[in-house]
Amino acid sequence: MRIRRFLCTLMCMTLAMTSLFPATAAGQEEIKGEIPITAHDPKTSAYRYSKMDIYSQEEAVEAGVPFGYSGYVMGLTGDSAVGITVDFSDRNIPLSVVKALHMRVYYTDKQREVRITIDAGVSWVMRHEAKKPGEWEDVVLSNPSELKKLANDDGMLGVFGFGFRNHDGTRGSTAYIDEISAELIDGDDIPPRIVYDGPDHIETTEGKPFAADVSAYDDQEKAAFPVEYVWDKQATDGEGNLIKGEYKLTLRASDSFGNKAEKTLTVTVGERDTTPPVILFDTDKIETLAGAHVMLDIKAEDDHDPVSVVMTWSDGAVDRAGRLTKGTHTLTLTAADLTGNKTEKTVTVVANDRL
Amino acid sequence: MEQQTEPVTEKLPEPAAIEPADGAVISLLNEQMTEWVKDYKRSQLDSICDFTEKCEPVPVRFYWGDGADYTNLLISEKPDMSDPDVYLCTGDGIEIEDLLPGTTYYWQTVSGANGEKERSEIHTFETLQSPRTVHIPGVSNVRDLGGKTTTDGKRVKYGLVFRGADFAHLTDEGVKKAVDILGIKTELDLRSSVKNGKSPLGDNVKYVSVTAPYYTGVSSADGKTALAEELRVFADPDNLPVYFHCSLGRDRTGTLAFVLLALLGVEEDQVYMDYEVSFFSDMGGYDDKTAPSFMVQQLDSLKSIVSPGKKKPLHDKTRAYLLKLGLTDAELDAIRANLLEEIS
Repeated sequence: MRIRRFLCTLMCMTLAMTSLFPATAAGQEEIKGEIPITAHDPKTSAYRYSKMDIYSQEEAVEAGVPFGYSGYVMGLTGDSAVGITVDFSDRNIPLSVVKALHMRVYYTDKQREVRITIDAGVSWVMRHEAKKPGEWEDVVLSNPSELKKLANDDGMLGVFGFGFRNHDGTRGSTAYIDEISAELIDGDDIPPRIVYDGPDHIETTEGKPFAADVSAYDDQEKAAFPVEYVWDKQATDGEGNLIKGEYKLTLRASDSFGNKAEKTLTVTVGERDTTPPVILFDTDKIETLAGAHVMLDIKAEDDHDPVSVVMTWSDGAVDRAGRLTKGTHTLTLTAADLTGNKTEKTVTVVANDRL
Repeated sequence: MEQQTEPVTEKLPEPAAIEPADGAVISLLNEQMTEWVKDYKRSQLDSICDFTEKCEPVPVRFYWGDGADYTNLLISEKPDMSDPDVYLCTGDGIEIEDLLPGTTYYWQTVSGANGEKERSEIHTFETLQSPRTVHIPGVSNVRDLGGKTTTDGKRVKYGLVFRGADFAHLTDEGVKKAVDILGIKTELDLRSSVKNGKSPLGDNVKYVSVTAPYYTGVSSADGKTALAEELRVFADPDNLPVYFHCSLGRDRTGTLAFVLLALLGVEEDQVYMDYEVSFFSDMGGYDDKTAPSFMVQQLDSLKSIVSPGKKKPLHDKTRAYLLKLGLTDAELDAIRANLLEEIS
C-alpha cells in the first residue's frame, strides 16, 4: 500500500499567501500554518525577487493561467530568477520515509527546466527538463541520493527551493505550479521506542529546568522523533524552573504514521540546591609550546546535575586555528549547575619556543 | 583442624601499553579501503556503494596513560623531535585526525602535575602509503592529491591541492577546517550553474568558476579552453592551496584530477586509484547508470584523448596534449615546480 500523506495542493498554496501577505478571508485562517512555503533567504536566495500570486479558479481564468490545473494555482513572475522556497522542517517527515517528491508545473515556451535546489541559484539537487512546453507536466524526484540532500540537520525533510530556468540563459519569466506533494513509503502500526535509561522515580531540586536524557526512535523509519513532556499539574514557574512538589510526568512521542508511545515517571522536586560544582583540575600553571593545538577537556562534578566546564582564554591567546600564541595567557575555567551555582578557577598558561 | 587455603594471588592489571606501539604501521583509512589499497586493481568496486561516507580518514589513537593533570603530545617527522606539532590535552590519550599517509612519525609526551614536568621516551611508528582522504565537516568525497609518487622519482606535495564535492552542506566547522586548518586560498568551482559567485569559505578565499568538461568533453572546443583555464590556476603559487570541485566531486573533478596528476607524472595506477576513491563516498557513489566499472571506462576514454597510444609515458603525452591547448611550457613547468618535491 502506498500512503500519500502530505498533499499540498492548491489549498495549501493559499496558506503560503497567508504567511507572506496577511490573510483577510475567514476561511484562510483555519488552514493557516499548513503550508510549507517560506520566505526566501534574503542574502542567498536567487529567488528573492520572485513575485508569487495564488489564484482561485476564477482568478486564474482572469489572469490567463493555462488550463489544466485543479482548484487554486500559483503564479510566479519576475525579471530575475523565478522560484519558490519551501520548508518542511516542522512537519517532522524523516527522509527515510519519503519515497518521492511530486510537483506539477507548467512550462512556457521560454522555459527549459525546473531545478530542485537547497541553495537557490548556486547548485541543484535535480533538474527536470521540459518535455512538452505549453502543457502541464509532473516533476518527480525519487532518487534516494538526491532526496537525501533535502534533509535538515535532524534528517527530516527540510528547506529547499524550486527554480525555473529559461532556454536562452536569460532570467525573468512567468511560471505556474499546481501541486507539491511528498509521497511516503508504506506505513506501519508499530510505535516508536521512548529511550530512557534513568529511574522511574526522579528526585530533583526546585529552581531549575527539568532535565532528563530522553529521546524517541522509530526502528521502522530509522529516525528520531521529539518527545513531549506532559505534567499532571503545573510543575514549573513562569521562567520554566521547577516548583517544589510531587508530580507525575508522561513522556509522549509519535512517528510519521501517527503511532504513539508513552512512558510515565514520577518526579519529586525538593529544596533548592545551593552547592556549587567542583572543577576537577588541580594545576594552576600549564607549560606548553607556542603553536600548540588546544585540546583540553577539563571536567567538573556536581551533587545534583551533570555539569561541563566553560574555558575562556585571555585576548589573543588562541588563533583562528585553535593554536596557542607565544606568551603568557590566562585561562578561566567556569562550571555552573542548573540552579545557577557557579565555580571559577584561573590557570596561567605559558607558551614558549622550548618546553 | 587447620584449614589450608590456596595462597591468594592478586591478579594485577597489565601495564597499560602505549599507542601507537613502537614500529607499528597504521592505516589512515578504514579496513575496507585499506584492503582495497593494499591489493589495488582497477575497476573492482561495483558492489561497495551504499551512499554512506566510507572514505573519511580514520584518526590515529595516541595513548600514554600516565594520569597527569595535563599532557603535551609532541609529534614530529624527525627523530630528534624538532619542529613538532603539539597538542595540549588532558586525560590519558587522544585521537589525531590529520596525519599524512606514507610517513614515519616520532612522538613523545611532556606531562605536567603539581608543578612538575615529566618527559617520556621517544616512540616511532609509520603510516601506510595510501590516498590521503580529508574530513571537512559537511563536505563529502574530500581528499588531498599529495603523497603520490611520480615516475621520475618525485612526489606531489601534501596540503596544496584538495578535491571533493560541493559545499552545499558546508558547516561552520567545515569553513574553519578548510580555511584555518587546511589553509585553502582558492576555490575552483567546475560547475556550469554558477557565475560571478563567491566562495562560501569567505571573502579571503579567491573564487574561480570554470564550466568544466566531463571525460571526453575535453576534446570539444569549449572543453579544451576550459581545461587550460582550470590548469592555469595551479601555475600561480599565490593560488595554493586550491580546493577544486564540481557537484559530486567525481566526474568533472575526476577529469581535472586525472589530467593534473598525469601532467605531474604520477604513476598511472595511483591516478586511477585516486579517481576510484570517490566510489567510497556518499556524493560520489553511483547508481545503475554509473557503476564504477562503467565510469572507469570513461576515464580510459579520457586517457585515450590526452595520452593516446602506448609508446610514450602518460606524462609526456599529456604534456604534449596540453601544449596543443595553448598552455605554455612555462605554465606547465610552473605547475610541476609548485606541486612536486624531491623525495628525501
